[in-house]
Amino acid sequence: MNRRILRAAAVLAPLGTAALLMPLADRPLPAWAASSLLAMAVRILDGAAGRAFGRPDPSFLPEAPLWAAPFAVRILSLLSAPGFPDLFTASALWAGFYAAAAAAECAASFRGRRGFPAFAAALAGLAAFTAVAGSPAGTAGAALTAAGLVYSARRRLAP
Amino acid sequence: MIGPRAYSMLRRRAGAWTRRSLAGSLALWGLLVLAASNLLSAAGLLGWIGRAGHDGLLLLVISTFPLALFRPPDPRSGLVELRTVDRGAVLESALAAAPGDAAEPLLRRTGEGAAEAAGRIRPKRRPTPRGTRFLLLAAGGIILVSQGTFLFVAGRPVIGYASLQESRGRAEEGAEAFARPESPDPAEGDGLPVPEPARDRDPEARLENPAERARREAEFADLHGLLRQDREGLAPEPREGEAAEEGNAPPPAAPAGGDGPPGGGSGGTGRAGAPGPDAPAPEGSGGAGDPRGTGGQERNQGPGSGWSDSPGAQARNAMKDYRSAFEKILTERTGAAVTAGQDLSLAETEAAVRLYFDSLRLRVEVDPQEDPLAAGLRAAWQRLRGGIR
Repeated sequence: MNRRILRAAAVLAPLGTAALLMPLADRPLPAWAASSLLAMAVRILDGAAGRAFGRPDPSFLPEAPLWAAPFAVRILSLLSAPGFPDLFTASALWAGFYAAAAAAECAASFRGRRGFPAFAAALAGLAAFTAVAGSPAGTAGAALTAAGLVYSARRRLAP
Repeated sequence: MIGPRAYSMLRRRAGAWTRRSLAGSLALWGLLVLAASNLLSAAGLLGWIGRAGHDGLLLLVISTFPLALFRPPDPRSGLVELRTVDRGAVLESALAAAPGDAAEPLLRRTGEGAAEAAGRIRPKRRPTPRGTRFLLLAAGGIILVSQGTFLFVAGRPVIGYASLQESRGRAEEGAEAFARPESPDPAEGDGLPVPEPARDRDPEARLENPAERARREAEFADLHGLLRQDREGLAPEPREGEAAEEGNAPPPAAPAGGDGPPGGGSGGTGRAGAPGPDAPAPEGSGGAGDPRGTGGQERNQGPGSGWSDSPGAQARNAMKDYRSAFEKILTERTGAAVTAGQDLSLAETEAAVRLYFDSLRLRVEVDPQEDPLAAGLRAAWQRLRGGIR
């Protein structure tokens, strides 16, 4: 079977199982906590799937959140139990967190460092910033951080 | 390989190219997400998808942000950018030359001259690729057509989930509940007065409008004033449709037993705690000559005594007082703008309430348990009846 399909299945299967079996939260998490937990879970699953089935591309693969998105609605709603506007905020936070942390990992890899600590550090920093500054500022900060990191990495590749 | 001037020029050009490619892909992503959101809103308005489907698909679209962010730029565009400023391919040759190559000094010197010349030339903007242009035009067209359709169908621009059934249901519900007398067509009624509680939910509005709050508190105190006056045995303020003369002869009182119509209120003297002969004779305790009535009067001096303990309370209808106060406040606030519908009778209200709460009613099936005393009496009566026969 195609390796890409296997990698997607390796990310989707645990997430789907968790989404179906996760009990309703009595005390909902804040949106930043739910989003960062989901981003970290997707990264761990994607890394394990990459080691198991191989990465078709040496650079960081950004399609893992796309694979996880079908279950992210339920997972985010169960973790943070918000209404629909909060759910959109949480999903935007999740996508922004993942993008920024992946960009940090990408930039660290270009400098010859290990990627996962950079991912975790960027995610923790963004989550802490969002907890202090609020979800809209956290979303904007994550998106800007991601764009800035990607820009700096591409500038570094250029002469 | 290349001199400092050529390096600086190439770095500047590379930065501009990186910024342009990144901004282009993000702008394209944003436009496509907006177009997809409009399409989903249109699908929701047409009833093709529900709210959960709309939000799930929109979240899927939002999740493509990292994909758009990491989308690699076309490497050929960078080469084209380089060759635009390096027409003689001098810098390209210098970059490709191996260290220690014989041509390196020549390429370096020529490259510096080419970089100085290229710095004065303003490069022309490359045209957008045909595929990207098509995507941009399609997304813009979708947004324009969708918003135009929303304006035509829903009467307003729509961002996010929209359902025609929900908005239509809300409109019909509002039209049935509140009909403006001056506009027979409820659909034409615009600017219905905003209910007070909806405005009160906003804490900022509450802080910004102390006059409104004071008025509301006064009305609230008015409601409580009715109760207080009842407890103290004072006559309430004359209301609309009632006799306002203080001390006049009260209207004909209800017959003894208190079964008369609730409109027969008592006058000032009748509520002073010593009911006169015109006061209706109450059933049970609380009468004029009843010592328990005096005790109830004494209890009324302290806080927490109930409305039913107030003198003369049994001759009046508590609901009537509340209803009068409510009608007074409603008329003051809304005037003639809002009237209660004519179709909603009391029987229909009762039926609606029964239907609404029927699902919540607790049904417990209990076997009929016969009272032994009643059974003995019935048996004795039947024996006695049989003996008489």
